[in-house]
Amino acid sequence: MYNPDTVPVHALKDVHVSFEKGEFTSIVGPSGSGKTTLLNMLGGLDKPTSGSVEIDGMDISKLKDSALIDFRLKHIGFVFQHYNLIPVFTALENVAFIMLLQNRPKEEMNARATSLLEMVGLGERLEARPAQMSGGQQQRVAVARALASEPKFILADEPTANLDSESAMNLLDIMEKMNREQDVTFIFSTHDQRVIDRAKRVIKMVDGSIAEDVTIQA
Amino acid sequence: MKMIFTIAWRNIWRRPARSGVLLASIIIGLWAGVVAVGTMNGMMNQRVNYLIDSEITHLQIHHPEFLTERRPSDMIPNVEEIRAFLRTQPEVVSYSTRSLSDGMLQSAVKASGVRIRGIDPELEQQTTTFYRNMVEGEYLSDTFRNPVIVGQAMANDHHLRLGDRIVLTFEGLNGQLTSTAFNIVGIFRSASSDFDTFNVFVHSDDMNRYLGAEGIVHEMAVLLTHADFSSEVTTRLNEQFSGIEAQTWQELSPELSTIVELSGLMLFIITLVIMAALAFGILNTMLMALFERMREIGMLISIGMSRKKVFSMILLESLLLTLVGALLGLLLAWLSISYLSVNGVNFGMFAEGIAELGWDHIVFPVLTSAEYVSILVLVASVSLLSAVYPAFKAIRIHPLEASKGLT
Amino acid sequence: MMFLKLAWRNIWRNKRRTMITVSAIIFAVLAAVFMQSMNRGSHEMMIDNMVRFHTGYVQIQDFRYQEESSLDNAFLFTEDLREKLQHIEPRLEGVIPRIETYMLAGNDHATRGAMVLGIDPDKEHLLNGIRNHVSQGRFFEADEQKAVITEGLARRLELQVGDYLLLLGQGRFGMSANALVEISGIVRHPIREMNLQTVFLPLQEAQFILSAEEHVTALLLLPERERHATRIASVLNNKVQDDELIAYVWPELIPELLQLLEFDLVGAYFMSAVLYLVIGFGFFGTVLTMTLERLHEFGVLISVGMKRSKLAIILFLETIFISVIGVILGILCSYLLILYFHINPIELTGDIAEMIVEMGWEPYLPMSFAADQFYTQGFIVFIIAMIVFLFPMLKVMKLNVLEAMRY
Repeated sequence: MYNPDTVPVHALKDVHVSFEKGEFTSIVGPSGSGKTTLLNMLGGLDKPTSGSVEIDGMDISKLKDSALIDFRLKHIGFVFQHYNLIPVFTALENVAFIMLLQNRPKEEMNARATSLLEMVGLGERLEARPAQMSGGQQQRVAVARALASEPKFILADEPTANLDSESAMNLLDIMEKMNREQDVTFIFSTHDQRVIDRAKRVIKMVDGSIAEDVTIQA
Repeated sequence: MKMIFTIAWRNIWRRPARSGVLLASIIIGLWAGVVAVGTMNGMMNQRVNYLIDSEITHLQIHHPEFLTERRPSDMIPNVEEIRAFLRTQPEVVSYSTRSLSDGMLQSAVKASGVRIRGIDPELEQQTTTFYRNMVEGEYLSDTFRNPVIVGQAMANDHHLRLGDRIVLTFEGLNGQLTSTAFNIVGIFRSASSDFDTFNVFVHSDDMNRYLGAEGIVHEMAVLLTHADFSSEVTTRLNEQFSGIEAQTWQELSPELSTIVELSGLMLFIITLVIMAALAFGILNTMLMALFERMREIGMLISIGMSRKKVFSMILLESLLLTLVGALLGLLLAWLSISYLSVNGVNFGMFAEGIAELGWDHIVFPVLTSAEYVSILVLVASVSLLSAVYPAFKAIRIHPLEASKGLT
Repeated sequence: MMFLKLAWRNIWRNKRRTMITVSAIIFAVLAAVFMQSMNRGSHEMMIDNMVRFHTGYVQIQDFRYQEESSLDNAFLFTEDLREKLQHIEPRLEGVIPRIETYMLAGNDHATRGAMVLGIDPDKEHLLNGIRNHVSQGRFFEADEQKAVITEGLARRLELQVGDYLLLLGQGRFGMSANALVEISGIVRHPIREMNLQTVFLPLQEAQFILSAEEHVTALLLLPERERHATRIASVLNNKVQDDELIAYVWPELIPELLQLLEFDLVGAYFMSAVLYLVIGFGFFGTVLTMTLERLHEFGVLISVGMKRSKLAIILFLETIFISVIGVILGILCSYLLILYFHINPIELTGDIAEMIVEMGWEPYLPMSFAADQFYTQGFIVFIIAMIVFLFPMLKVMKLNVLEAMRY
C-alpha cells in the first residue's frame, strides 16, 4: 500500500505516509493534531483538498460517492469508539450483516459469523443484542464484524476508550492475535497507552503534520 | 432484501412510543376521515329524503311546456295510459295527480301571489308525507264546500283562521280570469316557511271545475322504492310517452342538487385539508425521528451500506407502519360506521333549531365503497409521501457529520 | 429573568428542531383558518345578499306591519321624516324607501303572482348596487314611468325590454290597482326566489298605482358601519315610537335563514373538531420525538444539580415562546392566504358552476374574510399546542436520570 497525501487546509498539512500489509500501527497525538482526520482519509470518509489516497494502486479520493461506499464495504473494516452495532440485531446478525451487504451465500454467512464470534470469545453470546452486552463485548463484536468482510485493513478510532482495563486487554489480545496469525492490518488512532505499548509502529502527529514515525522491530 | 425488511420491522418496534404515536396518527386520521364523511353524507341524505318524501317525490311528469309556460292548457295528455304503465313498473310505490295554477289569494287583509295546488287527498297521502304537516283542521275533508288548506305563515300574514273565507283568482282554460271563494278547513306547517307562504291546497275536482274541464292533470308525482331508481324510471317514461316530460328529483329541484353538489365539493376540500394536516404531522414526527438516528445511519454508510439500501430501509419502515396503521384504521372505521349506521349519531345538543325545521336530530352516517377506497388511498398516499421526504434526507447524510465515531 | 434568557436561547440553540415545531404550528393555523373561512364563506354570502337586497341592515316599519303586512299599514314618508331620522342618527349613510305588495303580473295571455317593489333607484343602488345587476336594457330613473323585471319573471312571461307589463291587484284600502307599464330593463336578482317573481317600479309611480301617495311599507337603513346596526336600531326605537314606527335589526327579520345556517354550522363544527384531533396528534408525534431526543440533555442537567421543577419551568417557557411565535406567524400566513383567495377566488367549473349561475350566484367558492376567525383559530391551535407540550414537562418531572443518560 502506498498513500501520500497533502492537505494544506485545516487539519492536515503536507502529510506523506504509507502503510504495508500486516502492520499494527498507532497514530497518536493530542486533540487537534489531525490524527482523526488522517484516519478518516484513510477510510475514504474524508477527501483531501490536494493529493491522493491510494490503496493497492487505486486512488480512492477520486472515486464517486457510491463507488466509495462500495469500496469501503469490500476492502475496509471499521471499529468506532461507540455506536458500532445495529441495535436491533443480535451479535450473530450484526456480523453476518456485513456479509449480507456483500451478497455472500447464506450458509457461508452464518458459518463464518459464528466462527468469527467464537474467535473473539463470544461463542456463547451469539443471540444477544447490543443492549444486553457490556462495552467490551460490543467492541469485540465490532471487531468480528470488521473481520467478516475480509478487508485489506481495519481502521479503529479509540477502540478502547470506553473500556475497563480487563476488557481493553482482552480486545487488544484478540486484535494482536488476528494480526499475528492472519496478517490482518490494524491502524489505530488512540490516546490509550496500553494500545501504544503494543503497537509495532507509532506515528506521532502534531499540529497537522507527522512529527515522528517510529517502527519498532520486534 | 430480507435483512432490510427485518431491520425495518424491528426498528419499528424498538421505539414503541414513537411508532405508537405515528400509528395512532394514521389510524385516527383514517377513522376521523371516514366518520366525518359518513356523517356529512348522512346529514345530506336526511335533507334530501325529507324534501323528497314530503314534497318533490322521486320523479314528476308534466306536459313539456307546462314547466316554463304554466298555461292551464298544458295538461298531461294520456293520464290513464300513464297510470296503467306506472302500475307495471316494479319500482313504483305510488303516484298522485295534481292540477296546478299560479294565481292570487285575497283575504280581508290583503292580496298575495300563490301557487294553487289541486290534489286528490287519498292519492297524495299515499305518495307524500305532507299530510303530517297539518297543525290545525283537516286535510281537505269533504265537509265544506270548496275546501282549502293554507300554510301557517300565510295564515298569520293574512290573519286567517279555520272557517274563514278567501278568494282565489286564477286563469281558466278559456284564458279568462276566474275568482272563487274557498273555505279554510286546515292549516299546515312545513319545513320551509317560504313554502307555507306561497302554496295552498284545494281538491283537484273543485279546481278542475273552475278551470273548466274534468280530469285535468298538470303534474304527476311518483314515489319509488328508492331514490336511486329515479333516473331509470324517468328514462323509461320518457321513452314510452312522447307527449310528456318526466324529470328526476334532481332536475326538479336544482336548488337541492346544487346544495348537494356544493356540499360534496366542500366536503372534499375539507377532507383534503385534514389529510394535509395529517401529512404534516407525520412528516414532522418522521423528520424529528430521523435526526435522532443520524449517528446510526452515519455508521451504516461508513461500514459500506449503500445509500440506496439506506433509503430502502427507511422507506420500508414507513411503508410497514403505514400499512399496519391503514389496515387497523380501516377496520376501526368500518366497525364504527357499521354501528352508527344502525344506531345513528345523536345531534341532540344542536337539536332545537333542527326539530323546528322538521328534521330528525339523529343522523345515520353512510358511505359508499368508493368513498372508503378513496379515503384509504388518500390516507395511505399521504402517509407515504410524508415519509419519503425524510428518507431522501437520510440518504444525503454525510457519515462524518452524523457519526460521532470517527470524529 | 435568567429563565427567560435560558429558555429563549435554548430555542435557537437547535434551529432545526425549532423550525420543525414552529412550522407544524403555522401549518395547523393555516389549515384551521382555511377550513373555517370556507365554511363561513357561503353563509356570509347568503346573509349579505339577504341583508342588502331584502331586509336592509335596519328596517323601519309601521308597528302594525309585522303582524299584518298589508298596504293599509304603510306609513307616511316625507322629507321631514328623512331629516328627522338623519338628525336622530347621524351615522346613517342611506335611508332607502320601499313600497311592497303582491300583484298579478302578466303579458297578453298569461299572468303570474309577482312581488312588486316601488323603489328609489339611486337610493337602492347605494345599498346593493342594483344597477350593476341589469342584464338587458337599463334601470329606470326615479321620475320615469317604466318597470324593471327580474330574469325569472321575464322568462316565464316571455317578456323583453320594450314590451308592456300588465299589473293587476289591490291598492291601499281596497282600491283597485291596475297598470300597463313599459319594461325598460331586466335584472338578475341574486336571491333565487326573488329572481323568479319581482317587478321594480319607481317609487312615485308605484305609490300612484297603489293609491298610496307619499306612503311606504318599509325604510331600509344603511349605516356607515355594519356593526353599528344594533345600536342604531335601539336609538331609533327610543325616538320614533310616537310616530308609530318601529325599527328592526336584520336578524329579527330573517330568523329562519339564520336557523338554517346554524344547522349547517353543526356539520362544520364537527369537521373542525376532526381537524383539531388530527393536529393534536401531529403535534404530539413531533413533541414526543423531540423529548426523546433531549432526554440525555435533561439527564445531564438534573444530575449536575438542576431541580426538576426549574427545568420544567424552562421547558414551559420554551413552549410558550415557540407556540406564540408559531401562532403569530400562522395568523400572518393565513391572513395572506385568505387575502389571496379573497382577490382570486377559487373558480367553480362544470355542472356545479352551471347550477350556481342558474341560482343567481357567481361561480366562485366564497370564502370568509372575517377578522375574528384568524384570532379564534390561532388561539385554539395555541391551546392545543400547550396541552400537547405538557408531555415533556411531565416526563421531566418523572425522569429516571440513569435511564436518560443512556440515550
